[in-house]
Amino acid sequence: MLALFCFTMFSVVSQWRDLATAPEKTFIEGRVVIAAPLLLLLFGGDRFLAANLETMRLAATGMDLGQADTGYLMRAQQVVAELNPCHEDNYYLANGLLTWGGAAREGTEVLRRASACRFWDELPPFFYGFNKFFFERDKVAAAKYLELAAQRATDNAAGFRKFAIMIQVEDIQDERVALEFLRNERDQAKDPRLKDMLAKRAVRLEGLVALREAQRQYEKLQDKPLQAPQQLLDMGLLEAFPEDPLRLGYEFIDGRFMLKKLKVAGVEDR
Amino acid sequence: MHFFRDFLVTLRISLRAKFSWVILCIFLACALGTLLSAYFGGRQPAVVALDVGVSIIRLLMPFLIVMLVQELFFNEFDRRYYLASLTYPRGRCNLLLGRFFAFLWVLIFVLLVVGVLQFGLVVFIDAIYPRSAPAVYGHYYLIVFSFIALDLLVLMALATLLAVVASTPSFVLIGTLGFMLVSRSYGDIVDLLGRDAGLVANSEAYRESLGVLGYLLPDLGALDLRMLVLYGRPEFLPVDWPWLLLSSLGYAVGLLALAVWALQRKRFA
Repeated sequence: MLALFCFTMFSVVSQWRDLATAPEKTFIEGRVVIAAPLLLLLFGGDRFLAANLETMRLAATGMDLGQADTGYLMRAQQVVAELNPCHEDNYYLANGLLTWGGAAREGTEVLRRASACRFWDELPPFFYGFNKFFFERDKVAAAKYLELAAQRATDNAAGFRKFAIMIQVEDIQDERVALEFLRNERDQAKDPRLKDMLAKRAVRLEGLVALREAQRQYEKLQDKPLQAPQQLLDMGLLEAFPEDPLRLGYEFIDGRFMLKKLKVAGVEDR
Repeated sequence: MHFFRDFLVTLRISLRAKFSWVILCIFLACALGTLLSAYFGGRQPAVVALDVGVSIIRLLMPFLIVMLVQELFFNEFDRRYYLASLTYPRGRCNLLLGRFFAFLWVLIFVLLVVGVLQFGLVVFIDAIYPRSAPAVYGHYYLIVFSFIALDLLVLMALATLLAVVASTPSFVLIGTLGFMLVSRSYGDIVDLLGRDAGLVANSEAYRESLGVLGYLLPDLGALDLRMLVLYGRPEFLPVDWPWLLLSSLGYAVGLLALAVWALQRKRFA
């Protein structure tokens, strides 16, 4: 009887308390991410199990209606990278969702750990180098990691090295100095595929040099700026426009000849 | 001679304790875990499958150990079977050690079967989504499983000691699992606290006090060499592996010796 009475009183009082107090909802900002040591303990001391199950969980729940929850993912994926930096799915997802989703620094941090742990894998240093070049414009670090990727790579070594060289070439303002540098690299290259790739790009740069030289001559002769590239042909300064072995071509923007770059939608030159 | 009889006795006790059902459940759990987790591995299904499979083995086998140690040793004292088993002209020490080694062989057999099962499953998964480097490497697989067996040996020795010393049945379970949790994780936690300094206010003090555990408990987390078999690189074998082996074996033998000594001293009411 007493027990019944007490339980009834308890339920009545707690319901009344619930209704009476003003609901001050404290919103938790962002989802909770459990820190790595605690997560390790929760998974029975097995850091591989923790990394695997966390990655599966993040891949499944990190996105809400098609939008990646970047704020949560960037913390949670760092935790997975601490537990098992060698985890392939984690670095791949981090590169895809974080780096290209607005959190470039955090995504790149996961890649850095993966690159250090997976000493046989060419992809993490390649992604890291590319991100460093593209997002942070840090060409020195980019070149270093691309070289690392080339050393680890089997088929792609020439491509990575070509990319590293072209990043440095782009930096050089004077096209003739850039051409010298590129020719030098081409001559020093031992890999035949790399030599071939650099030779094509040297020819392309030679074309640019020729165009700019013709423009300079025109402007010295006519004493006014060049309006259209056709005028060079009309004046006889050039027999024909130079052929681009990469078939990308050149463009004339704001009175200056430039190498035509591939335009990717949403990713413009900064 | 004695050993063979011990082996049969152990088997009979285990079978009576529904051991075959438990083993089947463990096989099923491993197989399901391995196969299903492969679906969630985006770029590396075979590696994830193997990884999760090994984790399941390392987590479920201690439960099997506790269950059987409970049957083989604890029930001797709890249900007073010693009134029959200790009347034979064999020393107490021989009884304990005989059953222990018989149980060890049973465990190794189970580990072997589940290892082969998993190998088969991972090869099957690898065939569905082949990558440039296959997930499983023959002799590395054996190495990883031998280290897992060593890990389980230490847990068995501890469970035996607890079974001889304890007065409540759940103490064996809690003690063994707690030991497993702490000794597998403290090494990694010390590492993580060192790197992630923002987690606790005074991480150095935490690390030092956790480091003290290194003198008391064996580093079972370091026995987890599965990176060898996941990625197939010999660099993942730690350079000090003989010392690891020696220290863990020493710990197990020490615990067993303690168990024998406790049994010799035990007074039955």
